[in-house]
Amino acid sequence: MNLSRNLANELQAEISRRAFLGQSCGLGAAALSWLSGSTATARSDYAPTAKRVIYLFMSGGPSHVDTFDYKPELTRRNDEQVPESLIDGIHFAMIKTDQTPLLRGSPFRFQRHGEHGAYVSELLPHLATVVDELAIIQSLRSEVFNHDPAVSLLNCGDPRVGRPTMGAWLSYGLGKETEELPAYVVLTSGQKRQPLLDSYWTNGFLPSEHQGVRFRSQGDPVLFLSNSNNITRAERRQQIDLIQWMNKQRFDLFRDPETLGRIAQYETAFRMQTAIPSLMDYSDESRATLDLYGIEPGKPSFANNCLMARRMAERGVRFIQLYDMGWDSHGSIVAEHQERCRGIDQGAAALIRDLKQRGMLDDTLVIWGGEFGRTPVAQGGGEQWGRDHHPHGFTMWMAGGGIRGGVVHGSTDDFGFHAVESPVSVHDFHATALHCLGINHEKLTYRHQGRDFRLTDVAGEVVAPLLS
Amino acid sequence: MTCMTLIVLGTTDIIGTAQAVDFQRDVRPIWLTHCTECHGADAATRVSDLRLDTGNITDLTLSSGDAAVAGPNANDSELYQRITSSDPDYRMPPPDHGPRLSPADQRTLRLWIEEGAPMSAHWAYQPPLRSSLPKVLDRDWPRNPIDHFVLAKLEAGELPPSPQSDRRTLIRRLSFDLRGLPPSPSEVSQFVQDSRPDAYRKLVERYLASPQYGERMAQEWLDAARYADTTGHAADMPRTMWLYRDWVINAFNSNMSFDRFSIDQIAGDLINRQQGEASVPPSNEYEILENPTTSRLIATGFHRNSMQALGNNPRKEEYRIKGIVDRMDTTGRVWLGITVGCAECHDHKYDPLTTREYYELFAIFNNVPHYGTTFEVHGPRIKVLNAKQRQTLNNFDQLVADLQRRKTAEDAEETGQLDAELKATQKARDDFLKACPTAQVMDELETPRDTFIHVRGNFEAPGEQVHPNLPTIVGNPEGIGAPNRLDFAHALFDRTNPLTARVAVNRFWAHFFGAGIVNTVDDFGVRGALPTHPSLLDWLAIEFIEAKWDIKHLHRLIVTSSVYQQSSQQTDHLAKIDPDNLHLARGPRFRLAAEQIRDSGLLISGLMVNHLGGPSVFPYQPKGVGEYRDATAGEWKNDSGKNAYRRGIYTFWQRMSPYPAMTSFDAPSRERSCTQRSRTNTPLQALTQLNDPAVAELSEMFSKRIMAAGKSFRARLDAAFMLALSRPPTTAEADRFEKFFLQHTPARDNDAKQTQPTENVNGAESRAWMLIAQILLNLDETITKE
Repeated sequence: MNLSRNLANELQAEISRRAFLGQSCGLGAAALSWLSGSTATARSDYAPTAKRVIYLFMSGGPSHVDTFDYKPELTRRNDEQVPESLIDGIHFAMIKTDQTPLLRGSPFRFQRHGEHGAYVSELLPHLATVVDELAIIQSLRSEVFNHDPAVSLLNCGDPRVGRPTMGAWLSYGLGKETEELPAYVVLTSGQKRQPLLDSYWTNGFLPSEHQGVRFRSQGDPVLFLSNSNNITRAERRQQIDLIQWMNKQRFDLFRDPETLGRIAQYETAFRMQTAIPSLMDYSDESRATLDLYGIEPGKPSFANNCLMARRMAERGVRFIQLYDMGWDSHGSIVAEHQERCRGIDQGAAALIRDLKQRGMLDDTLVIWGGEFGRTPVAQGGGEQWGRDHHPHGFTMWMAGGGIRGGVVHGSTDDFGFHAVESPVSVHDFHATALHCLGINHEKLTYRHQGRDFRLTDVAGEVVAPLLS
Repeated sequence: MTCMTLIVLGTTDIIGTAQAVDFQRDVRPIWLTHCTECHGADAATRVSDLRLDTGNITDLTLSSGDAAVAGPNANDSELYQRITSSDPDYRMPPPDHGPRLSPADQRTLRLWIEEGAPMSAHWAYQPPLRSSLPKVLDRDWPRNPIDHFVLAKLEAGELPPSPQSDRRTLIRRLSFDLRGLPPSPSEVSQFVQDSRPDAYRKLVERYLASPQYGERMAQEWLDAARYADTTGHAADMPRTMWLYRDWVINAFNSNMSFDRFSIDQIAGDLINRQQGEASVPPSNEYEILENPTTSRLIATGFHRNSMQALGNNPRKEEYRIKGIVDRMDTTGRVWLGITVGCAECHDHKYDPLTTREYYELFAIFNNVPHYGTTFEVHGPRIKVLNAKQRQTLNNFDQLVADLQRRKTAEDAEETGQLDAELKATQKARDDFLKACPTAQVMDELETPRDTFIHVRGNFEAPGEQVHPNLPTIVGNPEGIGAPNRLDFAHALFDRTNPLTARVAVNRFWAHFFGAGIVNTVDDFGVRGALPTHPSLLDWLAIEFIEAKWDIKHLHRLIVTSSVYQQSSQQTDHLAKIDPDNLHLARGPRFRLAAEQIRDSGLLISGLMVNHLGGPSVFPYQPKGVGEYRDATAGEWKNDSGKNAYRRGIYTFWQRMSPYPAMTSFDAPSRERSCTQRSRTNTPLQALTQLNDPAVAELSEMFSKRIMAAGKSFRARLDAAFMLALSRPPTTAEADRFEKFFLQHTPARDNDAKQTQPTENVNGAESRAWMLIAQILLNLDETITKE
């Protein structure tokens, strides 16, 4: 159903564009009758507070106890054996449990910041300056400790293969705001310590048009965007005109609405060929903006992607997910987390500030987090030590788009091990994000193999204290 | 769907015999939505003895002593009183369980009670019955029994069938459906001119017998079998699976019966054992490709296509179990059309599969000797050599034997040199053998593993121990004690099994018509779609069984029917009342699959290398597509030469970073089984077909082919149209293309109008033809089966 709805929307756009240009589009009464009854407005169960999402995904798992979850008790009991009660029934990914692991306090200093006095570690000085905009959830709880199922749980609400991601759900549920860019875009940066898989932006069982489109860091940002065979834009226009004329003939003969769909898609593709280069061209950004993000145009970085995300948000992209790779610090928290935090800190903070000064933070939901946190116990001994995967209690934050700034929600125990106060499940997190977008998470469903599936599976409650 | 079509379709083929309220169509969905949780099949959530999924409701007495449904007056029935009550303590569903039933639902239930509340068991779980052919008014139209069923329904709905497709369209349709390729211009003109009455039948036979038939049919099966060339999950390492792919192609080409085809894939290793063979012989160095026992082992690659995790993972057992869960999910989806996965954690909410049955079936699949994860591709496998490879190996062995003989015969002086030679030869032999392909196969542990119910799907919470057993849904063959995989496979094909034949014919039907008679091809359960032509589905199922599961027979039957040969042109009337073609009042028209789009381009441009089977190939893809893959997963090295131009089915299938043009045209990642691809229409497809350098190369070559085909503009354009569209251009089209051509060849002025040979082909002219070639490769008509 949704397939034909999108098609209808796009055709409608095409028809009005042509009508506007005074061109005969040849979409006669029959074509319009395809549209009647199949068009639908984007769903909305309540008034949305956010129109779009920018999701900063720290791939590999950022350490909560070294960033936002200040644990003085953990530091006090540094190198003591972790209490047995904490690790009863716990599996680690890498740490061997033949010896009791040792608690390890953060080597980084924490300070209170902003009006609300939330703790932020010295690794994130820029984010510390916007902390009043953030709702920090310190009690996230996941169930899986391997990367790809854990990412899948965070993205799809299920660790198993085959479910759609949040971005795909939103593309399906809310449709497009722009014809010239995909509704769901993925940007990448960082150090490759763990692979990124195409399944991280899968459409699952939804139609494949809802798959995320990864903008590439080399060559065409969107695959096959540039004309092949040195074809000029004028030549391409003439080619498309002839293709469209031929397709129109075909439509007149077969009356297949898919042919009209194809006509519309070729026009969109043609427009994408200018829209994307103009999106990538930062010459209309002020020096102040570039400095805010701390970037050089054209030099790939997380901060560069943050500015790109803002530009995409302005142009109507629905769901923008930035993967920053390299947070899987098994070997050295000190070196690797310093490096990664430096990599994202200024860009993320600049994004919040920039959105705010443009009045866009009000309707843009920004999310920060990884697939899990990292163990409060050390992995490895000596100078070089790291932390293992830790799904039992970790931190994420949300900002803008109907989120109440300055909130610190929930907490882990004194060691940062288990989420104990107001635990938030991944389903709760999804329910809350969808709520901001005006969607009742129980109502956004898709029938697949006889069952009505949803992002939140069979659980999830909106975390009301996070909402403004 | 509009109200009108809903009523016309119903569950019966012929309008008029349908009741006002049909239990399956109208009543069951209300229960499934509002009542199933507490009154359904799942024992864990059921709170009442009143079950609305089984039995006869008129016999039920409630705890209050009243009858749920008492007589034809709805107001006397407690069921009706409760669903209409405004008393929150009395109302059903209770306010904290869900909203009140809508007035329309209430009305449906009232009408149903007034009709005597007839309940019927779910249609798909009843054995198929072959009904006699329905009578039709137009006796000339039907060519075979399929047509009787379709026409009877059309006549009942007063819809005329569409006229027969013209010959050009027909040969294209048939060629795409049976070979996955457009017909060559000479095939087209031969067929168009062949006025003999059996011309079409002969064409069908020729295509069914062509080797490309197997390649085309394998494409969908490989989706269902989640065939890929990498292991999946994060590491996504390459592993050799292509012998299985070739086995599938050959099986279709040799018209292996569907039961043999299926049983070999599920349990070929156990057939070998039954025949006294060791299924994976430990002593032999290699297997002989041509042996039937080898072939059967390769077939079992079906269930070795499951993803495998690699690397340092502490939960080996978790990943081993994921593999079994995947095998069960795939088996249920492919042969039974049911979702078995639900019962992993709880009794199925609406289909008859309990958690106990699930784990009894799990016990049957639990004995493959491999574990969850290691650092390398693992599990039972065999090395397979064809005749030529065996000859080479024999030559090596001969050489080694000769050298050894000489060594013993010669004196000590020369042994040094001979030793070196022997060592080198031995190494060359071993290297050669190492490079020969392997096949991942199934095997069965001598001592079966113990199986326990995993409480709520958690393998670390073992519940009661269970033993291998066939779920009732599979059927009820007699005389099986403790069934193994082979027994299970046989049970799928037992006459008591109501699902296998229906699910199979439905999927084949969807191959030709774009949609199944049951639209949800992988779900025949109670939540699945109802068949649009139930009697036809059953007739086909029985026909398939009685024809000994002869796949080509079934395909022949479908493509020679009048239904299949109808024109796919829409009328405004049809578009309005049946836009989804549920009545089959016209022929199918839909976009080609990703592989066929590639193959068409290769064939049209003359680049195709038509070589059957072999290792997967790496056609051109831009740098950086897999830039974030795991370091151990290996890089995509673009093939050059012949391997760059093989059919799409041979493209290396990299699960976590699939070939971009495939993904863009809806090919699945094959992380899990897929029995129906989505068919989308996106701008990324337009960009791919316009700009993918692999396609751009096709347009270059196509333009050269066009220019070689004639001297005059018109001769060339005709050739171009014939190659791409199997037809010459219309006058209007020729004019438009000529205008385009002239626009792009300013130097030649109006020469194009002349029919004189053009001697010096200048750059502008070949460029203009390249632009035209590209246009033709991008047309809706080119990439659509009409």
